Amino acid sequence: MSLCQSFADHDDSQISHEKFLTPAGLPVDILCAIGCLLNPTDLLRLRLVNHYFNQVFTLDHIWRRICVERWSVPSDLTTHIPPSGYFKFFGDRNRTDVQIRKTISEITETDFPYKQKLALEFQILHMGHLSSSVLTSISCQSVLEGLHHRWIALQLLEALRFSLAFTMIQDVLQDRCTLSFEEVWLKLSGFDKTVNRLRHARDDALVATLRRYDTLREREPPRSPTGEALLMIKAFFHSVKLTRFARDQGNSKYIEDYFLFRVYSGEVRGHHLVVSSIIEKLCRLRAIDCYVTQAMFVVVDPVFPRQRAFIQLIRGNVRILVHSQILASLRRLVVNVTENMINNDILRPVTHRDLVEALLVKTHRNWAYEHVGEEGSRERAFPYSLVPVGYLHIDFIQTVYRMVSAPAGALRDALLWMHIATRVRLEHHNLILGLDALVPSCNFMKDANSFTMMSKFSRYNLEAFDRLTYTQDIAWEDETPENRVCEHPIYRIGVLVRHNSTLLAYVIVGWKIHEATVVERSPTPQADEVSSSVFTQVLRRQVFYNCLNERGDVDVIKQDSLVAIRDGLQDEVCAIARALNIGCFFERFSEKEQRFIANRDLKCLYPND
Amino acid sequence: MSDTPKVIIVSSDNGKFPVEQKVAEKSVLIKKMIEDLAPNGLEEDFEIPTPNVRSNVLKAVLEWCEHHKDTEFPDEDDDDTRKITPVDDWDKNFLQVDQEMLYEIILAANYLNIRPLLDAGCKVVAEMIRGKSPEEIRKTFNIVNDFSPEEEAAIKRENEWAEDR
Repeated sequence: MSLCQSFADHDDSQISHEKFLTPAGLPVDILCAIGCLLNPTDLLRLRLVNHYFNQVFTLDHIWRRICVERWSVPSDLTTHIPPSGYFKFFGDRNRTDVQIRKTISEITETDFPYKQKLALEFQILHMGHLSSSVLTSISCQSVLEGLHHRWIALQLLEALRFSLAFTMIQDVLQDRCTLSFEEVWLKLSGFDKTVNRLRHARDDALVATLRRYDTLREREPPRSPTGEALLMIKAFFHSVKLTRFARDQGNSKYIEDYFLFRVYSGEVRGHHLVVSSIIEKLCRLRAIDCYVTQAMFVVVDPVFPRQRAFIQLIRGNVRILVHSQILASLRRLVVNVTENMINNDILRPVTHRDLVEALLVKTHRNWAYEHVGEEGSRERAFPYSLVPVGYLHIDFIQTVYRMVSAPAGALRDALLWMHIATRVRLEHHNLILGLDALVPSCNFMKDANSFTMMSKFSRYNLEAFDRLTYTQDIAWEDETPENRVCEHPIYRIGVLVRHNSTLLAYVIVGWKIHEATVVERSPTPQADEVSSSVFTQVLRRQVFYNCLNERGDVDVIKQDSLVAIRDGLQDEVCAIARALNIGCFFERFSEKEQRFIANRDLKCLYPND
Repeated sequence: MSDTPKVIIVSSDNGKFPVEQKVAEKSVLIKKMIEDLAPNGLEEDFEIPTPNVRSNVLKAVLEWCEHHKDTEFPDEDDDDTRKITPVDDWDKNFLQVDQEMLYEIILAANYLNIRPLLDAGCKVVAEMIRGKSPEEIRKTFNIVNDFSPEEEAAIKRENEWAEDR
């Protein structure tokens, strides 16, 4: 019997047409399924149809999907809904995006008033500050980076799929977090299993390593991150010597993971030389294991505090691994911003596609895989993708330069904005050096404007515009012992000075003593194990000067970075005397004393000078 | 052919539709039922009442099942693939029915748990909605605007925040 025959037996006329169905009569779950197929614009329109639709098409279920798609909010984020709901979350987050887009689109080559733009940029960042809904998005990376423990924030972010993260982020933000960094991270990322196994493993090698680490720690509590790192490495080497852990693949993986995690989480933080030597040693050990040949992959986040360590490692044929999630967001940001800049004629590439491809696809993804090629690394199915982080910057600059036919100044502005908008860590010295190498005719390093601006962005503390300058100066500072830290001001008001890195001339219009971190060389007993010299970061009081430059801007510079100008004063005096606001500080220049004489107001501020 | 036991699906108005087991099992609901009630396989004709589905709807749904009895559908859990796969031409044609029928097919597919059919139906409805203004949507679907002007303005304000421009 065929279907048709059987159907033919029935008479349609029997069927009642009492209920008339409209989409409004469809149950919620079906409307939801339909909603999931639509884009935000359509959904917004649907909300305006009637009460029922308004309710249905505002449901978290639908907007969650949209958020997940648009911002790569981890898709298994099912256990937690933003307190205000996903629709609200979408709105807030979208507003931020729109404003950033708008800001970027407003930039033109000719009109580039840095400071106002920067201020606006800061406002945008602050909008999202502490708003819990924004925290759920990947973009809160930039917000969280403003936190003191920005790498914790980053970890938390990455681990958002664990519902715990929400409360923890709150705790961290409100200083209520009592857990150690490690605990937080382990808790959140499912690392606890690994660690439990580490802690309770029957395996002697593992137990020995950890026990040794604990006893060393107890006996001699480390005083600095560097000390901590050394301790860890000590324990590690100790146990390696004891057990030749390489015999057991499983165990060695745990140990590696454990230590890589330490590197990753920023716990190995000391000076870049220390970090790189630690990594090199680890690298060598792993090479013995034939685990990964030739290169060692360091799990590192792009805001790793000591990027230079990794630049150095790259030169030594050591490749760096970024967690894929971070990388993806980084890449997406770069693409977005590049697009925006191209649309607004800031960058003029050969073709847009070429640029993006060259920047992001060809250069990095394939490059990394070509160079890995060995069986081991692939079989392990590492959840990371490979990219040479340090290369990103220089490559980036080079590619942009090749592709762009804009004048150097525009390029600089473009890169600067790229830097601001993407938060890609174009560390200012890398950037400047890169640009200088590429464009020999313009010495960006001596271009005050670009220099100070870029410097400001080399730090993440977004609140204190002024303090930024102090810290930038330290970041820029060469970490050599010759730079003595001095607690008393040695330059008088009105004296002409020169910055020893940028060679810019300034006149001193004020000073202050502040606490700030400095890096100094300290020979320690542990030193010979890793590196011939050890650097530590210490908090020191030191003198900072308010320095007026020829453009009339006041920069804050620490004493070590300044040298008095002794001869050939004339040019500098002329230049600075042209600054419009010179009259706010000084009466005249005294040939006899070789300095500017302060006016009455300034004298009141510094009566003892 | 007639010796293999059939599944007889009974509509709300007592229409009886005997179909092959394979066809009937396009419906996960029916498949589960058969598994539960006849764990050793069908020995005789098996009657399943579907009190929510009218004859002509059931007829259409079974026509779809018959057509797709050998089609492999993407994984149930793979939301993304399911979302981006376009509705195939046969389905599109099949779903070219008046709106009421379309909704009934969707409801039936939902009730009988025939995911691919439900998806196709939803996609067709989504297509009808896409790009339309609220007023046009109301017109298309014969919906009455039950907002007061104030309420409407409030929602518009909320929407503004989420708009792309």
